[in-house]
Amino acid sequence: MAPKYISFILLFCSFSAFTQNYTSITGRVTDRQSGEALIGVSIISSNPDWGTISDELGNFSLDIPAQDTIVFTFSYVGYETKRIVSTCIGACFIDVQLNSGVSLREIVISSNSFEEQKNAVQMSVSTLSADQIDKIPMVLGENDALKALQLKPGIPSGSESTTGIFVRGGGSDQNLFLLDDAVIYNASHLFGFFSTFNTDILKNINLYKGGFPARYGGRLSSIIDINSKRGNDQKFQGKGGLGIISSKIALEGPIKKGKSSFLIAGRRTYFDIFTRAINNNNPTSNIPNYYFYDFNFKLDFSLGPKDHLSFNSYRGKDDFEFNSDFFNFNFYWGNQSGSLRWVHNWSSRFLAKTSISISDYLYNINNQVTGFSFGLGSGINDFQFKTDFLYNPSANLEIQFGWSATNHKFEIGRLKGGSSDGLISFSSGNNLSGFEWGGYFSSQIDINSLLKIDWGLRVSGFFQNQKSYTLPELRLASNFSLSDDLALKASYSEMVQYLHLVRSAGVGLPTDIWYPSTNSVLPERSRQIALGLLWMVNPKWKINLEGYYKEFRNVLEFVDAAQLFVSNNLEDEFAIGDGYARGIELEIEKREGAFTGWIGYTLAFVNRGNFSPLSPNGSFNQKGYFSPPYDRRHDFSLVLFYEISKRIKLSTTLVYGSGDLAWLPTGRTYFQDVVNGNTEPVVPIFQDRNNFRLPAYHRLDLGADFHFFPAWGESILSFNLINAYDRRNTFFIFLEPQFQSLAVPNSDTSLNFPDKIIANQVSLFPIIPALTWNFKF
Amino acid sequence: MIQHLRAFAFFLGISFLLATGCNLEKQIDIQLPNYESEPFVECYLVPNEPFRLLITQTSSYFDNLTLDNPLFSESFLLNGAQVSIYQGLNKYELDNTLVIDPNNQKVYNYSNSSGVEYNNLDSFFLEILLPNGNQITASSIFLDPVDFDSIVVQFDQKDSLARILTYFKDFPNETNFYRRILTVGKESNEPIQDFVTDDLFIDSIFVFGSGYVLNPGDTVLNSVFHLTKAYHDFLESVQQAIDGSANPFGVPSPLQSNLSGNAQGIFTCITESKNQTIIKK
Repeated sequence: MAPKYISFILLFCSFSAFTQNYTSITGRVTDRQSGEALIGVSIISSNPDWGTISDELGNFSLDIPAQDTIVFTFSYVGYETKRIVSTCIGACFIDVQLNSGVSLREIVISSNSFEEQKNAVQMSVSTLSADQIDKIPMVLGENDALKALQLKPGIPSGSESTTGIFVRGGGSDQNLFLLDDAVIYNASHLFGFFSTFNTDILKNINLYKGGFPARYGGRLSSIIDINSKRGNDQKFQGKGGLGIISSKIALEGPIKKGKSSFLIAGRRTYFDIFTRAINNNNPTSNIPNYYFYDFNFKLDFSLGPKDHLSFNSYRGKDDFEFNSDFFNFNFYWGNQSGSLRWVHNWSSRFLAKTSISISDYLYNINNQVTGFSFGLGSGINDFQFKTDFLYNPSANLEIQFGWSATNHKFEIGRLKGGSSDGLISFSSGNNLSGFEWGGYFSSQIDINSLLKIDWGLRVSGFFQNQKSYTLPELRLASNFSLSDDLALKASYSEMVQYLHLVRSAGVGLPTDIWYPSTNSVLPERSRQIALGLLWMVNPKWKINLEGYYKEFRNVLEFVDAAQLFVSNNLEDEFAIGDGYARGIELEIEKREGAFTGWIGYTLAFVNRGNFSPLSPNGSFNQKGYFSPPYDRRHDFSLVLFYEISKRIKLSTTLVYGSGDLAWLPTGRTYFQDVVNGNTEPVVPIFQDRNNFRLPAYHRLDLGADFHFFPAWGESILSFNLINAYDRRNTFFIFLEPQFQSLAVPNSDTSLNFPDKIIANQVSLFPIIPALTWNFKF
Repeated sequence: MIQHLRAFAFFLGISFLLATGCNLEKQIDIQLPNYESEPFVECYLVPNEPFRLLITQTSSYFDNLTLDNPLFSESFLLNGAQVSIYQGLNKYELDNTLVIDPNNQKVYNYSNSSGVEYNNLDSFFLEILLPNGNQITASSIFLDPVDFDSIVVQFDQKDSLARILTYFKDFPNETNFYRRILTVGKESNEPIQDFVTDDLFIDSIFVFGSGYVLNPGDTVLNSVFHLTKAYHDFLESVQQAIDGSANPFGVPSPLQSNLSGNAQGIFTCITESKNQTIIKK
């Protein structure tokens, strides 16, 4: 309770300080070209102690000591900075329109400048611009927001070129992806090689890896809050691209000029067009067919200066099929989401955001083999209602509170099979449901010009089949300004995760099974403390150093010889344990000028252990603590952009990471089985988990964008050279015994024995050039 | 725009050639943590068959067993142990003698010529005293055998290939585990089906079916084993261990032994129901 009392006292102090003669300025900031409200614009008065940022509708309000003349500076990354001189006395409204810059477009996070980052209480947030994402060379030329984020410190990737992220020791299941407030449960295509987020529709991404704001909950390690952009309500425009594996197009325009707009975007691969043509023309050919697509649709309605309504939807699907005379295989998986959001300004100081959203994820495997069919699948379906309130009683105080309620439906390990004539049939799996809720209150207070504190309390709960949990989550953050350029930040956050992802190890398959907390499966919990130093060397250069320590409780692993796909009681396959992670992250970033980029370095240690099976029949051989596969000790990234001219822009990324850990067998045995069983001369014996560190990973990618400006718009040719020095990084290792037949003495029997066992490393990419063509009109 | 499309097509081709023309697989040297060898025991008690048991020694994963390192040397077979199996009050001592089953290409280094008596009321108990003084123990029981309801042969629409369906009643009121081995020709041939399953998603009638892969005239050996949970878990773990070392999608697993003492392996009673069918039109 102590923090509440402290906050109350501080809140009282801040109100008492607000008794002088003040001028109240309110206003709205929009993009001059599209009319879109700009969120997070920095608004600073000539008295640097008084400033604010624009809200979800582009609105802002500011109370400053009355002066004859006040100069306001409006700055926003990717837009020209604008200064306005005001002689306002009393209360005034300012309508501000900013011109977008030539090349910069704000897309991610804290749209803020280094100055804002230094002044913000929030820490542990990663920042990128859309322009940077577009310029980073990517495999096969497919721009990818998640892979771009992996280049930031503290966000290592999983295996080669996959979109999985492992934030500060957390698993890939501990990240919450929100697309316009709707949860995306599986954020990847093509077995994890591409993310589901079409960069053409993104407005901003907020990736929080610590110091979590109280309004977020539900996952232990990161929140990736993604907002799609609003369609242009002034004029029709579009953009698209033609790549090696996919094409995409996005169209937007006004429905009623200045009042409402639409945005529609799609992306699809075209492997299957070629493979189907080959298969159709050649009866002996049975190349697998594969495609994925994304479809985004958004409507926005400005219902007046105080109200905004938006409808957002997303659908994505991967489909893989293989057909032959005897064997038909189809595997599809995908997400659907939709949300309806209403933002209402009750006053210039009080804003409410309400949303209703649905989310759906499923995978399905269908197999037909000469008269038999076999189906396997799983899914989760959510319906969520939530409201967030933002109240700014004064320039020194910001209060947020709200609540959310989510109904989950789980389809656990659905299995159905049988013969086509119906003589044989079997099925398994069960359906569960759960209800998750959360409420929060947080307050950011500027104690004085040097110290800011943000404290919050989130209380969340989960109800499933007569079992309920209610858990508090404390959030604390502070910013102490050591000098004009240097800020010391600290945060403490507790997180709870009521949903558990059952995902097999090895190379990732999208066969995710989400499982609720139950009477036996306790909610996963974490707490993290972080300390950071942010030095704004100058407006162009920033150095950020953060250290963290994080503890995990009730995290899941699987028992030895777990049966994840065919089980009527999946809990029997779970083991529950704990873990901890610690690390240091360094980021040096340059933003403005022809030469920009950043260097990131992470030193991290991750351990998990003390696992015990939930079922008395289960076993978990590993005792004590062990490192998970993603315990990457060193992770370094260098990202550079150089703009030679408006027409030619170069980029390069260099990454180096300690190898991931693999679980390899240390021993082997000869298993001859019963008389009619098959002798296995080599049965691996697995002992300690993750006992072998793979070779270090490093790769250099180069990119060059050539911009052309025909009369109809803009044409961009992007040339990427991936893995420029042809490094063969490890994708996976497999072990291959080679046998010799040895005669049994005094008999004519011979037995197979391993002559030697070869370890083979498989790499995913050689050096790969790629060309993509993008256009805008 | 045409120029852009031409350039795009050119690089598409180059990228495809590079991606498909490069060898992305290579041998590497791996230094694994030290491994300490331990005994591995396989003992299957088959009714009316002699007591037979194989004790080998596990080895480091990459150790070679070459012709210079002769078969059945100390590095493979573990000899010199005292092996006893108890059935109720009866004790059977197994001699350390090499026995070879040439028909099935199986070897045993401990045996007793007495036939195993099927009795589902008795517990069987294994006791091994190793030369180094360590003791290994295990126990098992015979389960009831499966009674086949029917064996059905069906031909496909072209009337050329057949499948075989094996029906039997599941044992009620308990969780049961089964192993299915389907072999064509001799018993020692490699099975065309070999898997284990539980009965958690079966109501009452179990059906094991093959695909349409059998030819007229084939002799099909149809076996269904009623397994103890320990044997089922062991077999599952063996398969997962094999998959986990060779398959990037596989999940490794330690072996689930039912032996106590510093050893791995399986000691189990075998309850097998067999049927032989000749495929006829």
